[in-house]
Amino acid sequence: MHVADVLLESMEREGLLTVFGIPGSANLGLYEKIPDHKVNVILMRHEQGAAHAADAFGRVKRNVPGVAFATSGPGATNLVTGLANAYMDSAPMIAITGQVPMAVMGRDAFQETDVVGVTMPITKHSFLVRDPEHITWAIRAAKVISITNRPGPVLVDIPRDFWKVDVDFYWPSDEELLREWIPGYDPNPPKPSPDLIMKAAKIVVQAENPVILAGGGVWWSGATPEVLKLAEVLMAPIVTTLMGKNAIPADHPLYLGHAGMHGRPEANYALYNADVVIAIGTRFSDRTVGNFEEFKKGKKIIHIDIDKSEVGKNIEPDVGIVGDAREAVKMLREYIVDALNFKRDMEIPLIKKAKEFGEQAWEVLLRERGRGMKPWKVLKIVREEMPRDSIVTTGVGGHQMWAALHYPVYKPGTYLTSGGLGTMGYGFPAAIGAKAAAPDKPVLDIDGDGSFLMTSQNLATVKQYNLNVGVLIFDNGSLQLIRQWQDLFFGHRRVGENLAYLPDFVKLANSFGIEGVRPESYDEMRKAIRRVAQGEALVIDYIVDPDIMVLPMIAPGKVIAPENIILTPEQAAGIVV
Amino acid sequence: MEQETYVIKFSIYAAVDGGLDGLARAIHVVRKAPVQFHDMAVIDSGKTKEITLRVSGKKKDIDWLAKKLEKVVEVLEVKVQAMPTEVSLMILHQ
Repeated sequence: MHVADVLLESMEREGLLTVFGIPGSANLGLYEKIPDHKVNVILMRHEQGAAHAADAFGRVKRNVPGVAFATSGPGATNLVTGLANAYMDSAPMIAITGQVPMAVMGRDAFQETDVVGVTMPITKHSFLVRDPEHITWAIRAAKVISITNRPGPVLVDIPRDFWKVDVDFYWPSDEELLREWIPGYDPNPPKPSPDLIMKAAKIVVQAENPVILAGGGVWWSGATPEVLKLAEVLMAPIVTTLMGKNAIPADHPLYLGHAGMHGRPEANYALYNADVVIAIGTRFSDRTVGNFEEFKKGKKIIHIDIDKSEVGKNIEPDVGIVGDAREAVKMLREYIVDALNFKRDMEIPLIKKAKEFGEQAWEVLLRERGRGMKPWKVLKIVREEMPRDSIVTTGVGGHQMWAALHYPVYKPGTYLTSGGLGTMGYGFPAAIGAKAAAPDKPVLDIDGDGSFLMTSQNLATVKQYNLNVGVLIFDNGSLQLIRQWQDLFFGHRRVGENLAYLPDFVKLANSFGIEGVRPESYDEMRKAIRRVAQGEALVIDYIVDPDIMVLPMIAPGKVIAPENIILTPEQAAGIVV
Repeated sequence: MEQETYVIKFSIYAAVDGGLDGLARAIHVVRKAPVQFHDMAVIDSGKTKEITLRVSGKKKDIDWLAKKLEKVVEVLEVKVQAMPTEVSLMILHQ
């Protein structure tokens, strides 16, 4: 069997049937064989988009990584941003790149790049396949590594002279694979220590104001029901990180929203004023807590994470529990209820205080300001019109923060955003990947004009494969958050934020055979969103006043204390970052 | 003394590539760690390579580095050993 067939057969066996990619000379031998297999290849218009689509596919499927194909050299290096993005957000994906022939490797051959070397720090693992007999092993290992424990991207690089080499098809067993190829890798999550669970439980029941901080790991672990049960036992609020927004249903009565730099005031208030924080599946990003030392003061931290290198990395916990979130949280709740016989009947007092603080803040934040349709009102329409289980992706920028603040997620796994790397251009190809993973669900990319423009060439992919996704472009003619930072913290010196000569997004969509609209009223906006909800591919150009700043905000480096929450631009006067 | 010198020993399993990729991956981890790197020795023992690193830093950062190294797929086992104070001081002065 040719190596190309072996690879495709291996992918079929592993359930890797959807690929996003672009062919080139180093993987043409692979593409040649695709018609003989069940693997479905979607042609993206730039490899960055292929990587983001594969990343999003994996986020939606969770146990089936998305796959990206690229050729050697520029094809492979164009994947780099997407791999880094998946790595930072722990998304499972596999990149399969063609490489120059073994005979010329290392000699600066045409389109040669050492992509394994380039991507080492931004992948969970990578293989350069040096023997045609190793293909099945590499694909099996790539899948196991990408989806188990803390998920992440894996790259497999294959020299192009291998594609037509005849080899025997050998399918290693799980045991062989782990023993012969990756003996250092344990696909099973570490077991949470019962002693540490007990210690944590005792701290939790003595707390007056415990708060649960849920991160993206809650989604990866499938721990949502356990986290909700724990909150209900403690009658404690849940706040999330930006990534954790994807894990907790926003209509749960104990949910206060996401915390952080652009977090909801009530969530930041609760998290900051907690006496015990139960942090689950989060790395305590600087964007979530602002300042590690200040945040830690006066509170005890219980940190649950599957990755032991995250425990104590940014914040030293009082109890650090290494293990799968679902199992650890279940053990914690059971110990609290069964061994300590503890269950609270009333909400902890902090919830009321946080909500009162939030109400006062929102009264200021939602005052009429700027011209035209307001972002929070538009997003309210989006939420009303899109079905509960529809998928929303975002780009990166002001629109992303507006969406984080004003688009409640009801069903876990339906909100895909670039949290760790903050990759502009992520939202649109991610929407394509999400649609491929969940073709029956409406998908909407909430994007910015700058962010969308970075990967908008994939409109062609939407049309070509009927991957009908909607795009809601927050079009304010500027790099909104850059402009805002320059206005607030850099002396009002606006440099390089003005997106002059933007295309007409309606005409741009039309040029790809996709409809576009530019709503001028909330009614027209509602009609447009409804079309997306009904499964239509549609680009919605939403003109936003660039002077409407994304608020609330906490200046970088400042802890998420209530007094640091900026509600009006005037409050930022004098802040140096 | 806040800064101390440690020896970190770990082994890398080289299934197919002679172990250089695993070693490079481990070095990527070390170069981003908040520690001071002194030297490294690599001994080949068939399918595994034994690596000895000498680094200085805070204990918590050294422990974090060891945990990060354990995450490298090819790495089999990581051991951390504090150097005697006199040796540690000598290395730091050098």
